[in-house]
Amino acid sequence: MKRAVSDDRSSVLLTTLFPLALLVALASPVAANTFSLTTTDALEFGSFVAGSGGTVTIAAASGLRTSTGTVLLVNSSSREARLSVSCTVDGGSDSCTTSSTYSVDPVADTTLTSGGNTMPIGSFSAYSIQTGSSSGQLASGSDTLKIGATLTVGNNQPPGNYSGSFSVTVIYQ
Amino acid sequence: MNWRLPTEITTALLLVAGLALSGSPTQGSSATGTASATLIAPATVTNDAAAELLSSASPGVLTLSIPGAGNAPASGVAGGGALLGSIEAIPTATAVTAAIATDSAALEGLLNEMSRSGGPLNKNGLLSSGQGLNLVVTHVRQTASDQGRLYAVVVYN
Repeated sequence: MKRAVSDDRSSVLLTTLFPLALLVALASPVAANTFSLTTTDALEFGSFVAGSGGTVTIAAASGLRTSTGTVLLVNSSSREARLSVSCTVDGGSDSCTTSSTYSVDPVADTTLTSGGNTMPIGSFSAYSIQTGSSSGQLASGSDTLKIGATLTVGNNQPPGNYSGSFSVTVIYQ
Repeated sequence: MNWRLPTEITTALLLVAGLALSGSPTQGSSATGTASATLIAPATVTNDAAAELLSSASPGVLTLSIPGAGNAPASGVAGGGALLGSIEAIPTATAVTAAIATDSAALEGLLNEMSRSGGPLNKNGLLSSGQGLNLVVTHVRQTASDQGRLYAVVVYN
């Protein structure tokens, strides 16, 4: 008989109090992390002479510019792209207290254009300053993500100022 | 008094709670970056033109004159002194490649003097005079008459 009373109380706890407690807990305000991704520096391949074609690569980690084929690099400004990744609490000014990690989705190939002429960009690579790898961590609520890529230059590619854009997506864990 | 919630409502509440606790949807952010490149049309110095640009007042003494607008001399640069070491021709006369010499120090010293700015010759054979001029050596040849021939792509910024 005592056992039956005990089971009955457990059943009450399980079927009534526990769900109600859960609902109360879920209804309570919880600080939400707000993530943001902002481009701070453009990807610059600099100036070069096409020759009979080749590639120009900007390394994500170092920003080093290298070429292949008969592309001749001319002394000029070049650099990797940089994006600021940050996390704040409730969209305010306070940084997230916990370190969140994030991954970078593969960046889709794109093209630079100058009038009707194009040059493809591909082999995008990412580098997180915080982790030194392609996946980042928001230590103290922020990180800098560097992006490099390879530009393919055609044989006798027409001269001009080429420009284009690319999209970077990060997924927070 | 039976004050327990009906089983159906309890089940629904548990399901809602379970779904809510199973994890918030993955968050992501996207941003658009810009990219740029400047492709320069070089003023190519042909073999014949290079031979005209490069003369030898006396064996081993090289003088290079780079024409400016209207073929007026933009800079006349004398190598000065005897050419040190030996410089071999690169077989592919028309290919745009880096300068190659058996004695790179001799070539670098010569080009530094020619550029006046003294900037170092990098591994790509690229030399910037700091005066809006980039000179890319394609190859250097020392002729049988001991006259130097320099072939280059000259890029005016």
